[in-house]
Amino acid sequence: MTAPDRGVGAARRVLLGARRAAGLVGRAVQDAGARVAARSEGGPARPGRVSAHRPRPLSSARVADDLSRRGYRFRTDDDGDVTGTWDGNRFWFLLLGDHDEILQVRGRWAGTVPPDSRLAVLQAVNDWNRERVWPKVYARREGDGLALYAEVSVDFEHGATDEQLAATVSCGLVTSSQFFSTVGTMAPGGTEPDDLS
Amino acid sequence: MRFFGSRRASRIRPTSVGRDELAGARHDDELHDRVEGLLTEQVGTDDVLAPLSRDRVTDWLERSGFSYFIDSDGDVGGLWHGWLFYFLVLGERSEVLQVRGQWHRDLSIERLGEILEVCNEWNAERIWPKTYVRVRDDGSVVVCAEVTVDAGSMVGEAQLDQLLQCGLSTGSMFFEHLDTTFRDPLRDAS
Repeated sequence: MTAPDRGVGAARRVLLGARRAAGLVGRAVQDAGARVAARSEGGPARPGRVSAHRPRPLSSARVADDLSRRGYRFRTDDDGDVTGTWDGNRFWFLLLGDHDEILQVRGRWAGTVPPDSRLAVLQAVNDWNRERVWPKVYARREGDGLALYAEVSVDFEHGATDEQLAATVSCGLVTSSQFFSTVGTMAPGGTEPDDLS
Repeated sequence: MRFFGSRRASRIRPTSVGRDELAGARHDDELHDRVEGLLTEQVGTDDVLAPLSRDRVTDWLERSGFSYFIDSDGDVGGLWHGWLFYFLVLGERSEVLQVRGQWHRDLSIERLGEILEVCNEWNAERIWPKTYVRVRDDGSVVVCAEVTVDAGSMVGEAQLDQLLQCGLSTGSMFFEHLDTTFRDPLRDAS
C-alpha cells in the first residue's frame, strides 16, 4: 500500500498558510463590521440567542444575517439567492439539496479566458485543486470564452451552528478571492471585468 | 428536541389581531424559544457537540465496522471498496476534517489531457468531491478526490457521521466513474 504522493505534510503547510490569510482577512472584516455597527446603530447589541450554539437548519435569512453582521453589501436575486460582489467578482450563497441542507459559496471570476488556452487553464485549475484545500475550482465554457468558478460546499443535513455557518462563508469568500487574484496575475489574455452590479 | 410540542398548532389566532396582542404573541414565542434553548443546553441536544479529534474519527470507523491503520505520521487511513482513503484532522485548532481518497490505478502521462477534462467536468457538475491529478516523477498519473470541511470548534456526532459518509460515498462515486471511463485493459483481457 502506498501513501498518496507529497501527501499530508504539504496539505498541512498549505492549510496553515491559507488559514493565516483567512485570519488576517477575518480580522479586517471584523474591524470593518465594527465600524459599520458603530456608525449606524449606537444602541446596544441584540441579546445573544441561546440557539446560536446548537445546530439549526440553514436558511437564506441566516446567511443574510451573517453577511450583514460583517457589514457586507448584498442582494437577493430573482431566484431568491443571496448574491454580491467581492473584489469585483460575483459570489452566490446557494442552498442546495432536497431540503436546502447544503450551503454552497460559489464565486465566478469577473474575467474570461480565450478558449484556445483550455489545456493551460485546466492545468492551472488542477494545480490549485491539488495544492490548496479550498476552494474547488473549475473552468466552464461560456459564450466565446472560458469562465472560472470557485466553490466551497458543506452539507448541513443535521443543521449548522452560527459559528459553522460563518466559517463556511469566510472560507468560501477568502479562499475563492485568493484563487481569483492568482488567476488575475497569470492570465494576461483575460478580458476586463464585466458587469459589476 | 422539542420541549413544548408543536407550537404551530396552538398558535391559531383570530384573523383580526390588535398590535398589542401580536406583540404579546411574539413575546410568547421568543420566551418559548429562549426557555427551550436553555433546557436544550442543560439536557443536551439530539446531536451532542464536542471538539473534532482523531479519536472521534477512529471511534466512528470502529463503530462502522471499518478496519483502519495509523501510519508513521499519525494519520488514519483505510481501504474502502479497494480504494485508499485518509481521514485527516487538520488546522491549528483541529477544526478541519478532510477525507481524501486515491484511485487504485495509475494512468500514463499520454492520457493527462483526457483525465484533466474528466476531473474538470466532475468538479463543474458535482458538488463533491474536489478531484485532481498528481503526476509522479516516473510520469504516471494518480487521481485523487477530497472533501474538506471547516467544522468549527464543536461538531455533533450526527454531523461527524454525515461529513465522513459524504467524503467516502462521493469519493467512491467518482472512482466508479473513472472505472467506467478508463477501462482496465488487464481486467478486460481476463
